[in-house]
Amino acid sequence: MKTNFLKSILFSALVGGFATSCVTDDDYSVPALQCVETTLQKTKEVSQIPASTTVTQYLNDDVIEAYVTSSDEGGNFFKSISMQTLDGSKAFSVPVDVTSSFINFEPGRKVLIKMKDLYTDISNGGMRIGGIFVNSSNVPAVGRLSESLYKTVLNRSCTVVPESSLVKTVTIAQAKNDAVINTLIEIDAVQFSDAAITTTYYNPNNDLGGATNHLLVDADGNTLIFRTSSFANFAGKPVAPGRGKVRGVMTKFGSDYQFVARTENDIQLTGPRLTPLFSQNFESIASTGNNQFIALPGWSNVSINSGAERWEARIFSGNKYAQMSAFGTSENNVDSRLITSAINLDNSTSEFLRFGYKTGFANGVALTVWYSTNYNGSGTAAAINAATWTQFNVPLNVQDTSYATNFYSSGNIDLSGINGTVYVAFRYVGSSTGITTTYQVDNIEVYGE
Amino acid sequence: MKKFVFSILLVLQIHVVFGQNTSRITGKIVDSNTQTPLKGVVVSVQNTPLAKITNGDGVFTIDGVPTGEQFLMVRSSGYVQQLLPITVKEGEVLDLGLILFEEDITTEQQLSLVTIIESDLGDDNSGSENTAGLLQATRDVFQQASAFNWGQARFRIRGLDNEYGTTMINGVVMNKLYDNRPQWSNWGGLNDATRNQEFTMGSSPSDYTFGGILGTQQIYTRASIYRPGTRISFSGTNTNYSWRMMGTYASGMDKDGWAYVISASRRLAQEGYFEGTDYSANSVFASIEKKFNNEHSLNFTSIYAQNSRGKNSPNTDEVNSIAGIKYNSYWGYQDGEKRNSRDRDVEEPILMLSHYWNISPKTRLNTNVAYQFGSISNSRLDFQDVTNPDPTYYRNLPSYFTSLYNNNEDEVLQQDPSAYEPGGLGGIFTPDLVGASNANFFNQRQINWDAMYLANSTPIVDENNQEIGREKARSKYVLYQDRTDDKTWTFNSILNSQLSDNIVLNGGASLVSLKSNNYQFLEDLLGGLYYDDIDNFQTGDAAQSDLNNPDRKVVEGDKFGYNYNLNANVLRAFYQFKFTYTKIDFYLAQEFSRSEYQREGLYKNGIYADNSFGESEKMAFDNFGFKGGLTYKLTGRHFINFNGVYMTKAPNLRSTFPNARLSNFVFDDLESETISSADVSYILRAPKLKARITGFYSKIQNVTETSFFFAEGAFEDTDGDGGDAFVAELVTGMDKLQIGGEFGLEYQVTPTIKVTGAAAYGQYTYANNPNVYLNVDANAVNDLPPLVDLGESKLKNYKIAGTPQQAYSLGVEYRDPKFWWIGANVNYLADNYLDVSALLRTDNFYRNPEDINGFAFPEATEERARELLKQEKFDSFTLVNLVGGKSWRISNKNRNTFGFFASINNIFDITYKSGGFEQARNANYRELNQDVSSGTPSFAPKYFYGFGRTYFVNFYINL
Repeated sequence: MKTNFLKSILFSALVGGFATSCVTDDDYSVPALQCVETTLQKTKEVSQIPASTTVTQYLNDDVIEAYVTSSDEGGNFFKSISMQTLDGSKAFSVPVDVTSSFINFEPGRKVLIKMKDLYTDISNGGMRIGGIFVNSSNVPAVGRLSESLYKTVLNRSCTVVPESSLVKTVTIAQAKNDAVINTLIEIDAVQFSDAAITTTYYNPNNDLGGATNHLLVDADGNTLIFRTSSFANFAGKPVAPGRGKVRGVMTKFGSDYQFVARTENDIQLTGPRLTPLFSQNFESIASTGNNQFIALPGWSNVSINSGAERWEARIFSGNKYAQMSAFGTSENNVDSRLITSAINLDNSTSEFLRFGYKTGFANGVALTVWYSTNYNGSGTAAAINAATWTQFNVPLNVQDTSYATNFYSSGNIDLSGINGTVYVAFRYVGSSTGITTTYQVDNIEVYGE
Repeated sequence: MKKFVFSILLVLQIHVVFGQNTSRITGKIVDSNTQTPLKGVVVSVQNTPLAKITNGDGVFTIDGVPTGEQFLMVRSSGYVQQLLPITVKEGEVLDLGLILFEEDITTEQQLSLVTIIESDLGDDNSGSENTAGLLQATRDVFQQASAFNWGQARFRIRGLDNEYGTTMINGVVMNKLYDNRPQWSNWGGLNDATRNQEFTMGSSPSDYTFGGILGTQQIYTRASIYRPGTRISFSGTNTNYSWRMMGTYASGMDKDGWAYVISASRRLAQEGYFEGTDYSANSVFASIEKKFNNEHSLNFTSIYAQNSRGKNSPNTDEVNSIAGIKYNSYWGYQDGEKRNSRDRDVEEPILMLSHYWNISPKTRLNTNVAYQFGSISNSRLDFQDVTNPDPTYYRNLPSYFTSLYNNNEDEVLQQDPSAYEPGGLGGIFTPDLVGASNANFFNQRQINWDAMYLANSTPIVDENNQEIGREKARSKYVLYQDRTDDKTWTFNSILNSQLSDNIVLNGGASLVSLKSNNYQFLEDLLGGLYYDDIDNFQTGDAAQSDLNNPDRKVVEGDKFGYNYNLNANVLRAFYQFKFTYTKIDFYLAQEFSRSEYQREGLYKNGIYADNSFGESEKMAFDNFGFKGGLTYKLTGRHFINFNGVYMTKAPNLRSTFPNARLSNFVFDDLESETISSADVSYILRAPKLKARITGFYSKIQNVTETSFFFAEGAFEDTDGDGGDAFVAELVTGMDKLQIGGEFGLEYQVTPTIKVTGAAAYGQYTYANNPNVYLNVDANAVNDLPPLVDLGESKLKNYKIAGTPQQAYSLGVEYRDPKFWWIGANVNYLADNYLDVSALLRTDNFYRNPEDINGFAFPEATEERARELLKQEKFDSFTLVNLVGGKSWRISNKNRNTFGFFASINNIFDITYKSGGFEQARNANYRELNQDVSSGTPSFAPKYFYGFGRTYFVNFYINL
């Protein structure tokens, strides 16, 4: 037993030796990932690179410098990298046949581009630099750089500027400009349209070429298309209902400017949504058409001079609105008032009124907008005449022969000086033998804080 | 009890002639080198139940030996078995004097079986498919050839999967309830400690269990049966691992009744035979026995085997032709070392308490309580919002560019309308040769770990906006494990009783209780900060892994993705009567089992919100089996043996819950398998010539199989993606037929030269057309029933894959009296087939997913379909192996020896495919036809290759 015991001790020592010998474990240290600076130097400014709607090859051995603005991390950009100069004066996109390009070319990364033998063109208002692609109709255009070329053409610098030094804060109106395409912009004080916030960023029932276009709306009612691909990693998330700023890259398709956020993080709509104190879009009206006069609860629709023609409910492309015209009425002193229900301005400040309008067959201005704080709402000509009415100074000058596609915004009409209960009147004054301009009014909204 | 037995006899109307004239033989067995008497050697008279074990002086005495010509069998592990012809006269004592027993140095080979048994085929935590591990300790020539010569080519005896065999340690069944296969790694590397084995072929009776139709393997770890001594060995090889060190010490029984055995081993490789396959395994074994008295002994066995290895990828011919057959796509350099992304780790210790009770000299009861716990894990990469990191991802390969088609219907009709005529391609071939020559695979053949770390971080810049380092960010790439943590309790009792001189009763009952926790385990964030626990192929709620804890950000060590328990209880009972007479031996056995399974979802999966959290329906299966067989002794040397079995077998856990990762779904019509099998053998056992020829037949019916894959074009194209989906495939009602013959021969030409031959010829086919269902998660998201019935798959007469169906071996061995030996064998293996996809052989294959009426592809022809669906037969090949060894005695006083064993397998470095499978991605005629017609298919079959020339050298010391 004793020798056995000794043997087993010896044996244990041996086994211990085995177990610790030549260990090949599965612990690996994190790679250093040191950035290696490119040796290329800028020889030309982006502004010196010619580009036109016809694709052309750039033959000189030049290098340009730009900063990445887009990112395919969120899946909303695909095989295309947008870049701009540091000051944002020039911008372009580089189509690449590469996915996950954000790993090497994230926003803010300086890139030195070897221009020799690349192709340039201007497509949908934006400049492109890349390879060549000939479609089935034999029309050449700038195409994706192959993965092997991409690495030699796009040279990664170790300079990464913060987005704050690239981004420009613009209004929706300023954003709709070809010079802004591919740049990084931020738009403040916007929110998604009412229709958008009940759905998801990408909505399969509202698909336009694999993506959904929602509308961003600013306080003035200006709108901008916000486009989200079905491949975006936030595609299925509900649209943010709040108000605030969005950051992203401007693009254009046809004549539509389209704003593209890179990740959900670009959407910072954290403030409270601007919701109207009062709104009317006429969608609740059942019957529309000729002589279908608007009769909404609390509203007044009155022909002051005992005429027959009043404001009608009409529908076009599924949208209902109020319409009025003196044309064909055989009345020569038309004065029809469409008066809102009572709007209480006691619990808010900085109120303003906004509505949309269109004109057709225009031959003069017939519409004016008024308000009264002492109208009793009874809907009779006598009551209207008895009340005190003040006209808003709002120029509704548009005189179109055929109706515009979209409603024009009235702009924000200041109500901040008015207190108590107010009625707003849309007054049409015309004559079948005089001004017969047709007016369409929709989306009457009052906002306040 | 006896009455009952006799009633069976009467029913069967078997008449047995009892041998009556008896006598006695005696002798003494000594080691041929040292002349020391050998204790514990088994001496038996052939064709009688008579057997004795030598005592401490090496002496045995057997009474009641039938008179006439008899054969005396002398055997003990580690010695050359002897068969001695004797003539017994009535009433006389035959003293055989000293019998010299020669040490068998060829048993070294058995301790050196490097089993390529681990399955690389399955991505899940399944057991071992190869049968070589079963046969480690066999003495049968055919089985030895199967294990040592053909095992490297994944030969399976009788074409059967391991799930039809039973592997036991001390009578405790080690087959996992998950897939019914044993996990060899649980005791891998402990070759010395598990050398006491018994294997019964096919359905032949085992004393410990009813068993299956492949065979039963029993490993004994009772401490007192090990030959005392120390054994240390050191091996080098270029197979799965490079080095092996192993040491074992057995104490033998001391005077106080204590015996113990300890053993440990370590195996390791920086890189095994295939690129990037690292290997690290540590195994420790201890067994201790206390003999209280002649009636009672207790033995405690503990086995702790820890195994971690990098897996090898199956590859398409395209990849192998570019990168060579040792190419493995799973690894990449990190930190200057090859890091494998697909590690398999097995760590499942076994604790077992065994009670041995000799109730009477003729009745023994063995009772065991076993507990096994630990985990099996398979690692792999997961990723979100980034490119697939697999260097052999189809878009990275040149074939992707050279198998492109324009499938725009308008353009095809305009440019080449004949594409839609029968025999057409259904599209216009548009290969991109420039793209092919620039394919990523040419630049990046291995996994790019650095790129993943880069993706998981963002730059840190200094005040000049210069990048000076990286900061952790959301991980887009992570390394995770599919992990199974099992806790298994087994209680069993096995009775062995010699009811009379001629009748033995075996019986047993066991209860196995399993709790198996399965989940995704985040192993490495690869330099990132956290990982989003969502399924980014889904949107909204459906993307959530667990609606009870939505939008989790997980870190290393967290569970995520899926998490569920499988709970199972299996009760088994069997009994068996064995009858032994002069002319005939026969047996009868019966088994009953009840299996109860339940899934318990721990996550409320977003896709299956109503059917994933909490307990599933409880599934219960009752099964039974009958078997019987006989050995008819034509003469003392010629035997005819027959075995037959009919049984049913519960579906395993894996096929009971086909979508276990996500839902509690169970297939309503799930049935038990029905197995019928028979074999008949002619056996010749003469002193110089031993031979066996066997014919076998087995039919397994109602098999259910499950698998997971990404299918393209399998469904109606509702969302513009061509009907692609990640699916679970369920094949039900499948019948398999295995018919064939086995032959083994061993001829002692001279006392030193032995010739061996073995042959296997089989036909393993699908015997019917099973039904195919797909479980489509995307359907569940869209409120459609997830289970889609695709009808029959025309599998009948396709060959069952996974093994060569023909194998032949011829060997010669020279054993020099000066303790060295050398052998060579040549092997021919043929008729190994590609594993075919059941999905491709359904009617769905012809259905055009873009056609709203579900019409067939207009260009489809039956002739072309037959070509496309023809099963690939691998080339046959010849392997030549060399083995040899020598041992030296260290001293004359004892048995201490030093020696080595060496082998070279596949001496001519023959390259051969050992397995492969069709990729089911091209799930319809058009996609497959276009892909194959391109000449460079993008989704070609993937193959496994056998080892080329390998060696194994083992040095050992026995003290």
